[in-house]
Amino acid sequence: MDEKLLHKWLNNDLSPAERTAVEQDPDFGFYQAILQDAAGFKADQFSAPHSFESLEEAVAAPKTTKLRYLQPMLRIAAVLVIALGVYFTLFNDGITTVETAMTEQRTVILPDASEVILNAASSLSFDGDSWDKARQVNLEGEAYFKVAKGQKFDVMSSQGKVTVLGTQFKVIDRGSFFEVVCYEGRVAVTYGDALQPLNPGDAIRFLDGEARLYNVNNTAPSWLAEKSDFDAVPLAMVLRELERQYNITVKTQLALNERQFSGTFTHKDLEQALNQITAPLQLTYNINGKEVTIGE
Amino acid sequence: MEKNLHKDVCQPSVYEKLYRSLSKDVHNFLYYKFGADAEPADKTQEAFIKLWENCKKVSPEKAKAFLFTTASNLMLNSLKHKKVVLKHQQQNPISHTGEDPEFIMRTKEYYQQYQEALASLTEEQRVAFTLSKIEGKKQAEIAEMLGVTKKVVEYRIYSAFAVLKERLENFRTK
Repeated sequence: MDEKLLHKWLNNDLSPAERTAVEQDPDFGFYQAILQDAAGFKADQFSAPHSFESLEEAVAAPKTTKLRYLQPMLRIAAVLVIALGVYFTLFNDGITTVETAMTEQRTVILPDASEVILNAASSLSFDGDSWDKARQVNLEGEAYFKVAKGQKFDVMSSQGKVTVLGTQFKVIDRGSFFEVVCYEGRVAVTYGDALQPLNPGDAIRFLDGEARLYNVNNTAPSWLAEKSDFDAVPLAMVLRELERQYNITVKTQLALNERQFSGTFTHKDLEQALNQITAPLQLTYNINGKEVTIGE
Repeated sequence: MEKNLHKDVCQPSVYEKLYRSLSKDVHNFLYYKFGADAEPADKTQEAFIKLWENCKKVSPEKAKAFLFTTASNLMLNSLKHKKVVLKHQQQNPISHTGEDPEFIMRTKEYYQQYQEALASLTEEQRVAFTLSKIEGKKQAEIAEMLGVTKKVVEYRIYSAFAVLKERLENFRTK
């Protein structure tokens, strides 16, 4: 076939006369067959691992985003505080597990120098051997992550997966309470089929199956500064955190899930902490050794 | 600091739309360029993540070019000179025109040769050829994706076809 005609044919740029000439060319059948057979090498069907579903239905409260400027000095990518339950372990050998007891906080350095600070009564697992292939940890409880820049970093929890893009963020997974707070950089939270991206200052909270987006003002979890902050959190969660920070048991007759607490309690003095919790809610407390009773 | 752009990739709705409309194209581009074994799905996700990371600096109009360039670069970082393999699907669509399809002896060796011929093309030739002849993309669109002119795309397709017809000549029946 004439080279010019071939060129035009490949460009789908033939006049009617040229087209007739091409189709009558002895090479035409062979050439066309080549093109038809190319279809057999079509790319695999691409199905996004996480489909972007509309989150308008899931998110109740309207969101006002406050974008904060990233500080360029930190090479540390993401800090995730994830408090999640480990629901299954994926790894066999070379698995490192770090657990914290009541009142304890621990820092874990991951193979790529990412840092994880575990809050009390939490557990973190990862496979050091396969770290260069995929950065993945399993977390139960609560932790603050500072993820070094690199490949994506996944935190698996019983309620969802958080993928970090190089940020600082916090994740809480306690029972049916699942929260992710982004302090710096960008975080993508996957739950079910949906994906929620977070900017610094954004947080998403799941409680009893409902998702809510909101903003935070602080730059790191409060428990790093020996206190715990809460923003409209069920009282039950607050008291459980009090138990973890002081290694006590809290007993009460109150219907704890109906009351919400916004405020702070200190980790340094139990009486003061109890005052901080009970005063705004007009409750009373009674300390008896390692047991505290809360009442009206 | 107020955003003065009306549409901004940092807005989740804008980002999500970009994902829905472009992720398949990015995936296929990577597949054709680097092969099935290069994990194009993962790299596609990473490219979108990078877009999100840089959402302040990339306008929606520039997002497509950003994604293709980023995806390509991400792949180059992790590739260890793997052989490029485009898998052949057995369910081969038969000629729609009803013309006599027997211009080629379609043996196993033929498909093997075809696969190797595709692997032997330069990345640029392969991408241009497959996006045009398998995905049916217009050459102008391919040019935009790759950041080159339409003439360059035409030339690459032509060069790719020249290689294919030479390597498959032995299987010709008529």
